[in-house]
Amino acid sequence: MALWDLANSDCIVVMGSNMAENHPIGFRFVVEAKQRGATIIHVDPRFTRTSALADIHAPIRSGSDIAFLGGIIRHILENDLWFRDFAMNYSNIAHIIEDGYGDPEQNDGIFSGFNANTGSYKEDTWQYKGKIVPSSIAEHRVQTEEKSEGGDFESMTRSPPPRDESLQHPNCVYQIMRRHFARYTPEMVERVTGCPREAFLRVADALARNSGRERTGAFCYAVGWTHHSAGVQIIRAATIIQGLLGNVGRPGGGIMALRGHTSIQGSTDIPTLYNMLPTYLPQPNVFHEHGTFEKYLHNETPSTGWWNNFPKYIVSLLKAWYGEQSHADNEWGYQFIPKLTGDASQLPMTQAMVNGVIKGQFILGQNPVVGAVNSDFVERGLSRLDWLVVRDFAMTETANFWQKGRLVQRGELSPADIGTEVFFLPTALAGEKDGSVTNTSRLVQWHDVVLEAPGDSRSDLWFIYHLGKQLKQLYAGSDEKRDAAIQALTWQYPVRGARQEPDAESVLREVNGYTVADRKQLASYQELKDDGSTACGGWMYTGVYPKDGHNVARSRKPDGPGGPGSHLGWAFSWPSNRRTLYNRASADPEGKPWSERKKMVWWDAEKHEWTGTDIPDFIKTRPPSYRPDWSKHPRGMEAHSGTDPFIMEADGHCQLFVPSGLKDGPLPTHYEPIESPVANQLYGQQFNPAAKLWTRPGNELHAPEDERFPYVFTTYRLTELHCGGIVSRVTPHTAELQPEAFVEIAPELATQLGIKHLDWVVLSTVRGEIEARALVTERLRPFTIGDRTVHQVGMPWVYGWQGYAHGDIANVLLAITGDPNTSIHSTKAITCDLRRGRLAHAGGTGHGL
Amino acid sequence: MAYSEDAGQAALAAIDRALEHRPEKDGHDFADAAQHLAMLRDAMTARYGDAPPPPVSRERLARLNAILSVVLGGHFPLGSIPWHEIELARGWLADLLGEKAAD
Repeated sequence: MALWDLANSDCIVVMGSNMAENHPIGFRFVVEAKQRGATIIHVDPRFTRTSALADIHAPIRSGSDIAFLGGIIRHILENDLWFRDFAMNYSNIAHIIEDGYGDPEQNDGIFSGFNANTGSYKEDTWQYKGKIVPSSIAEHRVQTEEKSEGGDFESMTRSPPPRDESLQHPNCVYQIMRRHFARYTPEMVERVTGCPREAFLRVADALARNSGRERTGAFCYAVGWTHHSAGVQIIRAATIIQGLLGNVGRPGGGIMALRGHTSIQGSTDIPTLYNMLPTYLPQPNVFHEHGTFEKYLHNETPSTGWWNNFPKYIVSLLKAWYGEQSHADNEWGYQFIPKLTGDASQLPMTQAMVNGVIKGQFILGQNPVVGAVNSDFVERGLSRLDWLVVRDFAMTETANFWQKGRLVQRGELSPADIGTEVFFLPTALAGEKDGSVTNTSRLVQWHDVVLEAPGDSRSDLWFIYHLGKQLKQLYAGSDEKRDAAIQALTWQYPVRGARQEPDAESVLREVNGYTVADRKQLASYQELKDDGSTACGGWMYTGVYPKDGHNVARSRKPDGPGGPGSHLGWAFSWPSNRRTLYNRASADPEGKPWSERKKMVWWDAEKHEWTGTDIPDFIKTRPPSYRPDWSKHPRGMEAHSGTDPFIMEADGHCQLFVPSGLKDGPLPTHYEPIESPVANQLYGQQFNPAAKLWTRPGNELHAPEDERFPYVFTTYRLTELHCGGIVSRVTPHTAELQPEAFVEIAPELATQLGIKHLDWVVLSTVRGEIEARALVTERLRPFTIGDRTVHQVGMPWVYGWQGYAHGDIANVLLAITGDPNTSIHSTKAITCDLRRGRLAHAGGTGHGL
Repeated sequence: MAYSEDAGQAALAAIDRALEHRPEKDGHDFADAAQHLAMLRDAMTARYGDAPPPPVSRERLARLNAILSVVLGGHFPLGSIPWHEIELARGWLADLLGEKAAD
């Protein structure tokens, strides 16, 4: 959904985010919705400015989100509050799952298919009965067991998945969900989360009341959901609620992932991630059947649904990258692409640095000594490198760790012992370069250079372009096979001025795509081919530069007060300048809007096409009455009917139950965080059994209910200090607003520990100790979990030793662990100890004040 | 030379321990193996300083990097641990160390 579409919501739940303080631009649309009469809900451990502007604040203990959301799912199902016409037609609620499916209710917290030795699942028993369902998420398809090798995606072409429209079959998704969430009662929600049941029920009722034909609701979340050992499943729980309530593909309905950096969405689309090729194409894996391009296509191309077009996108990508060196005789250059052997995300690679495997690192737009978890461990990794390149506009903790780092300050390392050669290169600021940013709404917006960067400062584009040129020159004469990819890479972009700044628009033109024969820009991804006649750097972006001289990302024509409010003339939203994905769901199965108040796209029978206020996310001329002819084994979109809005899914249905692609189960299940002061009250399984754990010296974990670390610790951002902090800590005007690190403590806990407001306190885990000023505040309240009181403390993670605003690095306390699906770390719920006093090495006595 | 042989043998022993513990994943053995393979690589490259190594050494370095990549796949697996390939990598390493010893 578009950020501004939040204004059309009748109920907004902000959860896992302090949106008012950390996403203030987007929050204006929440305020607008409230002014129009919407109910605003904030579910969060702290009472923040977001809570102050909400109608309901529901406090929950960090890490108990699935218990809370699972309780809402149960409430909706048991009270029959779901939008039946929507969910029955558009979701897999009636689909029948394999007989062998086993639920955590039967196995004390474990799904069927679990291998305790490896901590991983096989998905065979989660499938639709008689089917093998390809995941629509390429990165997950690559990471999970290959089914097409032993199974058969073709099964999806033979018939639709089996359904029981009466919902009585014991293994239909509806019945499975009812059993799965049966114990997530309001009483259990209160016992697990600490949220009073009355507050919980107010939230559940508000959501249900604001759904249906006439009304819609939205969720907004940030890393308060993702930074957990079950982060993906928290988001999944919200998708189930929205699928049941009909809040997908409709005005004011959806789940808004609030991104923390300016173009984080863009860096996922055109990824800086290790496991995806641009616009969500799968990275080949050497241990899968990806040895040849033919096998790769065979195993990665779903037989049904829109992803069946995958060959067109990957061939066009290879043509864009390798130009004339990409042709049918060399598998379009497929062998130039490196193949994965394992998890190469940041957390494992930090360990590989410590092991001496990685010799050099580029850091662009990051400050991992502050922003990554287990900061001391990160410093140890950096100290093992041969070389480190840091590009930033001011000195960062990552660039001078060798001089001022915690390990050096403590005497564990000395600069003379650190062999890392550090290159600190100044960067241009936003106004000193042109380019695009893609925001949380998939909105690609162009910005122009305002003035030239001073001195040696250069844009990242300049750096990457000239680095690429140097590498091509270095390897030009090589006859090594491994250097062929660099030799083959197309790297010709116009440059301007004495600085030889690359033309950013020429990169966008390549990302958009063009015909190979006459280099004509493509207007739509439907024009892409798998025969080498088109080149495209990212199929979802096709249309952003549809013809020479027309950069749609520059468009700045908002709709007027008269509407329609989709603002199609403002910048470019991928794909196809579409603002709301799956918006076919905004019409009923016959193609009529669910209501006049909530209309978006609809079937125009006279013109025989879909139309509306947004670009329809459907085959434009496919009538609602269309049905696949299963006798012909339909493929691609031919296997979807005119009532299947979820075109990226193999069967066109919203997946309340996920048969493929998730590494920790087809349904969200409450587990305690890896470190928790309490036992799991729902299952014997304490924490996510598939979570990635890398226990090793320097990265030890606290056992559950470890009495040495009785408090829940969480981290967050501040309005005044942006992300890793450098940009605002070196700016006096913002630094003075939040001049030093602090930890928020509830008055009850402060009294118990003899801590007064502004006292120094020490926070500790087995990973490290830090000190900060105490902020004793009623914004945090003790939780009653089961029969005991649990205290939670919270601290901003934005401080370091650089800049005007100083403070210890909160992430020193954290451990390197990962969500099984994303490898994302846990920053929101660990355990710690707290005491009054200072650290001896920081200038204090170590005991008193 | 002795240093590199020690590192190689230590890596081999660590891979053997990982294979012995199969199917249970033991991160420590893989970490140990990766650490010693990296030490072996350092020792091999250090012999030549800034000068380009001769073709036979370049080829061995490439093989060692391949072994290291497979071991990292065991240490940080995407899905199941590639035990079969770990076995293969163990054989490649044994061959490599045998060749070096014969030099």
